[in-house]
Amino acid sequence: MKQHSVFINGIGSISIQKEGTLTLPEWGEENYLRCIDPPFAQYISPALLRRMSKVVKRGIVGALLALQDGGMEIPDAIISGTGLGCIEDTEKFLSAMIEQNEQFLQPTHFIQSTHNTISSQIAIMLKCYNYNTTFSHLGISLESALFDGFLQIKMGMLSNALINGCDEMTPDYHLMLRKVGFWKRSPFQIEDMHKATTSGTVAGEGCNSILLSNEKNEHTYAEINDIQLIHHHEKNNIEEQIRLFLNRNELSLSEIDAVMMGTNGDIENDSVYDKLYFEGKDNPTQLIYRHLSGDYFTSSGFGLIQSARILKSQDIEPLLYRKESKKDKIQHILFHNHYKNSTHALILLSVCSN
Amino acid sequence: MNQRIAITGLGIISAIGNNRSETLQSLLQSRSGIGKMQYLNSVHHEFPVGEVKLSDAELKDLCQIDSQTIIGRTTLLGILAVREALKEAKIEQIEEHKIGLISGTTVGGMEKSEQYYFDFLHNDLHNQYINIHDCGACTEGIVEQTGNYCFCTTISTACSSAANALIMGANMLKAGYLDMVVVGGTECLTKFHLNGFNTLMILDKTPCKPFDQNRNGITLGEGAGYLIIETEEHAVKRNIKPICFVSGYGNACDAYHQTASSPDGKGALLAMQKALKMSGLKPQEIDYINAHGTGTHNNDLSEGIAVQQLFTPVPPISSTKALTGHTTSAAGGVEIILSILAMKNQFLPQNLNYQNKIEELNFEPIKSNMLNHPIQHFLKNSFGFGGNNSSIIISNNV
Amino acid sequence: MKDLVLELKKEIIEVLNFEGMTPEDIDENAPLFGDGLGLDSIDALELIVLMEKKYGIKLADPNQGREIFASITTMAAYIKEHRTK
Repeated sequence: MKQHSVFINGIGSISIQKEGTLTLPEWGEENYLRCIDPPFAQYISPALLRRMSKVVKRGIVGALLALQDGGMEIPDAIISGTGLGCIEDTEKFLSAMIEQNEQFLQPTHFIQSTHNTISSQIAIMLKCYNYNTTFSHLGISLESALFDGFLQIKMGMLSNALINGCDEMTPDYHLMLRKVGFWKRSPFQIEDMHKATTSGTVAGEGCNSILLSNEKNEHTYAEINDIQLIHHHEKNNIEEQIRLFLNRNELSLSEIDAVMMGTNGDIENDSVYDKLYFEGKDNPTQLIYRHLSGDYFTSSGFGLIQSARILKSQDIEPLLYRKESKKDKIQHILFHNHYKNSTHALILLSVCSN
Repeated sequence: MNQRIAITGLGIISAIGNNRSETLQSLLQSRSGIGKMQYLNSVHHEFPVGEVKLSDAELKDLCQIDSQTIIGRTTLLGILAVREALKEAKIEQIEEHKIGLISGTTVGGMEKSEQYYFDFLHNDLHNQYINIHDCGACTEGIVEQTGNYCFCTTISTACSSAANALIMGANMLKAGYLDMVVVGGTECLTKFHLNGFNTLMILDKTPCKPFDQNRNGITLGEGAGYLIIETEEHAVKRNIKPICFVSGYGNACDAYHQTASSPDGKGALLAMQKALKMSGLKPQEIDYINAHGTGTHNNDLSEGIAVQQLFTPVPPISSTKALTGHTTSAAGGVEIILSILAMKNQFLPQNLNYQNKIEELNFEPIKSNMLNHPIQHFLKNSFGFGGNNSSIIISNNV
Repeated sequence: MKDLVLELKKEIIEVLNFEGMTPEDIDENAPLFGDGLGLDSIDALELIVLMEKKYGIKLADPNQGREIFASITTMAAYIKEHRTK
């Protein structure tokens, strides 16, 4: 089978960061980092807008930004990843259902509550009749979507695909996840995320869209050489899996210029990366991003977008460094994200000289 | 290399049976599992439902899971069906294979969240259920009880979730990323779904009547349906005779409305055309269509119009939702398996509760089980909210 | 009747989420669907919920709404005649 190459040709991001900048956010213990929203009305008609929850609006605008950036109108596929889906509308419907004893419920909240609302609404707006799907698998929802698009482009089933990762946070959901230990409790400086010695992370929200294509052009940021999602259990060793993954791409860890890691301030989470890359004998430059995006199920999209930008510009924003080693050129980035050490995502990205 | 995608195991649980053999018996006798609400604790008793006839405690018992374990009904249904499928495909040690699990679900652990939501917010009585609320946790729950897969993910495209899981799994096999994949979906009944569909005023107060002129909406059901798929080459190497093959599939978006299907059935037509194209079959080679056929005015008309555009004449067609109820995210898996059971037993399952032809359409669905009727290829439609439409073509192994 | 018309306008703005709109922006005799406010089938379902919750009027068939929801005026007239709360 002829294998096609896969390139990142467009990106769109709505995050806690102001467009085009990266700064350390201010964070207080009781709170989560909130998105800086674009003027939605510039992108979406008022008739559609009035019914949409924030996560749907962000999903649509993120998608439009990525398409615009990549110079494309209608993609061959719209593939979304969302860990929690549309929780704001789910909460509205759920609490009304309980409070009102299953009476007088509003259809709009139900309609907008399903996970696939984001992908569908993008399709409806674009009049895009092509492949359309949604993944919802915890911290690898976005990677699942990316993998689906990557696979189908590689096999020649698609020429391009819009990948969209979106999650929102609400005060109630933040409270619920606080109860089960998701968030940092003790006083904690966000700039010290990589040095944390306690459990929990800092909540955020956002939407990250990536346009994949089999064609290299003036919009291209980077090439995605390979993706592997690994369900980790006692009988497969992650270090070995990484070695095999790099080997099949004719690389070893010493040839990787930078590793983009999903470090989030949770000691258990972070020790997985530290064991692999910090304590190992090969010492690539280590980059982190969650202190700049906040953590959410699809926050890895923010890190992927940073990786793509680095490969294109060959410039690394100092705030991204966890550990620097001198490199003349950033040729290969290994993107590594894991969720509770049970599922790992490995993505190999390379520079693209036009 | 032989790239045909073989189906080597089936697992099913729904209102018409807790396993494959019970399901076949109900299907042969056209015995519906729809009835009065027994297990779901909703005030809306005016709606009949297609419940799996087991309590959560009985399900745990069947799964051999300790009664104290924190686990949702959606996950329990999934575990039973996945285990049955693995057993049939003779897969014992999962970690010895490159095997993945792709599961479709939409409401996830909602059936617990809707009981304890205010506790989650106001006290600490049921915090242990917070972590099992989302879709992914539901799949991880199945993994925990069924084995060490090397890959797993969750698809959530509402009522076409299971069909889309099959498509993703088949693509991964063709690309050589996995040797075998467990694909399908699971969903239990929830007040959330029942009330949600009720706000759209598309629930029938009598058991649903798909493709009937006087159809009046959906009857909700619950269940799980999973298939084991692998390349034919891999099955042969394992000395397993394939039950049948996945010969084509297509996913398209109706891009019309968040909950309604387009009047011309555009998304449905595109999905069926893509599936046919991949299979290399002509429309007249399709012996049976298992329709999405929910029983709403909108779906059955839109789907019917799309079918008519592609097939002249329309082959024998039925919706089996009047037997099981609409099992939502699981529907793709459950209904492909029902159709495979019919195919392997050489009959076409009837479209229960049908009386009068839809005026705008030129065909009638199957009025009673057609016995001694071999099927070589059938097409399964599975459509979801948001216009997430998928079609799958299955071919017999003879 | 005038009060009811104003009340309905306020309710519709809130329930259907017409951000930034005031009751004066809505012509009570203009069609609610199609032209005018441009409501659709989902809005019709929302109005059915509103009728039941606020005025105790139960519409069993969504098609029944078509005439009742022609404009704010027709809606107010129907409510006046059939309200139970």
